[in-house]
Amino acid sequence: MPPTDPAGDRPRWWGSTAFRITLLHLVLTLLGTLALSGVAWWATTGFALRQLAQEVERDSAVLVQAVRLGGPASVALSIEARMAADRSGTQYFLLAAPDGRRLAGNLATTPQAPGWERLQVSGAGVDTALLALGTALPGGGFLVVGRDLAPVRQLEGFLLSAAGWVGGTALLLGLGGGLLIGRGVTRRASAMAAALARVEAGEIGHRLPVRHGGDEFDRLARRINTTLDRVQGLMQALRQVTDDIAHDLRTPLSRLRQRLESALRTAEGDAAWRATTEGAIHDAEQMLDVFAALLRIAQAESGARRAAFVPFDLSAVVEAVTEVHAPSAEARRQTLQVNVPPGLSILGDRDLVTQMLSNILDNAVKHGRSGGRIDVQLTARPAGGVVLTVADDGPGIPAEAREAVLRRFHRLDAARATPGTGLGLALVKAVADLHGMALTLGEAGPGLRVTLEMPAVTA
Amino acid sequence: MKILVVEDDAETADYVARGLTEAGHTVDRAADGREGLFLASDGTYDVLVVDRMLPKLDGLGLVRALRAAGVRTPALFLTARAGVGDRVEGLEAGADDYLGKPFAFAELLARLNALARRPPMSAEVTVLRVADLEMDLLKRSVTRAGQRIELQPREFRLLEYLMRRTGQVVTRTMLLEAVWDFHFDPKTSVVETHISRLRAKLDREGAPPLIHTMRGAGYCLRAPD
Repeated sequence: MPPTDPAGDRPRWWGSTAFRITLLHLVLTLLGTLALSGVAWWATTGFALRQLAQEVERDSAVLVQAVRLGGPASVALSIEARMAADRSGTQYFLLAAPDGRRLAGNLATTPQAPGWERLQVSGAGVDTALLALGTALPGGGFLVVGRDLAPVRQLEGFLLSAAGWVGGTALLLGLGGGLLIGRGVTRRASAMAAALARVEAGEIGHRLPVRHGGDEFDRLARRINTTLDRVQGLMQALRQVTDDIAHDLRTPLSRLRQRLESALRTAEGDAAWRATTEGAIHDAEQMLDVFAALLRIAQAESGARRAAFVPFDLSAVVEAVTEVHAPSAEARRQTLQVNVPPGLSILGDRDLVTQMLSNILDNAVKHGRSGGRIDVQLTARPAGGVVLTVADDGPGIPAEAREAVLRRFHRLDAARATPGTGLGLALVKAVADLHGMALTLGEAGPGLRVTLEMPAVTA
Repeated sequence: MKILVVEDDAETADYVARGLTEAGHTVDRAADGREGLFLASDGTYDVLVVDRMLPKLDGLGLVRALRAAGVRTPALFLTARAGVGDRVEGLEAGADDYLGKPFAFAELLARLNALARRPPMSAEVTVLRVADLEMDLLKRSVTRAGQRIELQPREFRLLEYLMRRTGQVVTRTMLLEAVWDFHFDPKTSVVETHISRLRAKLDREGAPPLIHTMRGAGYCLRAPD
């Protein structure tokens, strides 16, 4: 069962974005259909009316000409003949004598004036509107030619119903499509929301469903999934750190406690108390060192320092660092071979790089062979960038353990006897990553060779 | 020396104030930034100890406001925010030194002394003298009783730092920062080694030593009484 939505808003298809977009689209389509129908209406019925009027005008002109040539009697015959031939019964005529008497035709009413007129005809099973043209005849008399408007009305009716069908179908299809799309989109959004809710509920490893289509939902889901991966990674790292801290600080804390307890039981005299206090301060300092190292690692890992990067003289830093570690090397009768050309610069955080190099040197001195040799070499690459190698001739690090030693608090069994926080190489890794340096732990045959490839200064 | 301690944590303020009083200084205290700014504004203090995170007005703001008002009293940030970058930020705001918590009291005392007695920045000094020891900053040469002493560049920097602070206690951390540019403790005996090398080069048969080790505090270069 998917977890309940904490916001309480159950997905409703009619509230979905897709549905709303479809609805808007539908309204626009309908408006378009309406405009198109209007234009079609105006063009078609207008054309039909004009056609009708032209027929009327032509008939009328022919008949008037006939009156002029053959007199009203021949025109009456002509009208009778036309009426007889008109099977559809859409033609109407009236030939009136000067005294108003009907000479021929099927129209009863006489228009008052010449010109266009719409007439209503009713009776004998006919009830229709006409488009009629009245003309005063030469030598008196009056001619009316009319045409039934029913075909135009029919056309109008046909257009109306066609528009109705088209509109209705568009509406139905649009609504149905909108519902379908809306439901599809809502379903996918709900699936994503449900997946996220599971993550929120604690299933941190759960991921959003991704189809192979690669549409915008899949792109979004993939993006969210990579974000979740990152968050999960950070959370795991954080948990790892807190576990490690808890574990690694318990040892010095218990030692401190034991020291104080045994002093409370047995210590006598100022000197004993003094020794105890000094020991306690030493223990506390060790714990503070661990915290300081952890904070530095966290700072380097956060990447926030990148904004403060400046070019600085790496050669000078390497020299200072080797010099600082020289006394420790001397104490172990190690030879420190330093080969650093002056004036090589990189872009970065001077403090962090100093600490990183110091940790590498510290590591080499502590784990290098007593009476052995430590090689520090800085070289500029012709292609740009610099490479730093620090090699000792100690036992080295077995290949399978090289990744593990870069983790916090990881110490090889062989190294447990030497003092240290177990954070030195973790800081080296964090600072190298921050600076985009490639860090390699390799074999110096025998011994450990640390190689740092640093990108060229691009300031 | 008249010192103002601006610190909101009562226990730390007590600890600092008690220590400074025992060392013979007069200490005033302020528990928030605004009070600290008010007290420090008249410029009668020799040195200020300022916490970074303070109620009402934070340490950075306090020092910035003081510097803007033209108060040049040396200020030291004493803070738990001692990450990379925090120090630079503090110094850029106008502070003169930066010390992360937790700290050793001797360290604080040495740094305050160094700040209060810091000579005014003068470029004219070209020769430093302590007893019969002489350092020529232009020629980069050192002589004792007229006899030339050859020093490595780092030893020269170390001696210059000590000679500029004659009679003051200088801690190991201060030396690491000033001479090696190390803002963390590398846990090596580099300072001790260099000091002893310097001693070996400076000391002559029958002459009193110039560099003194102050137990639990640091080193001090001073003329024999």
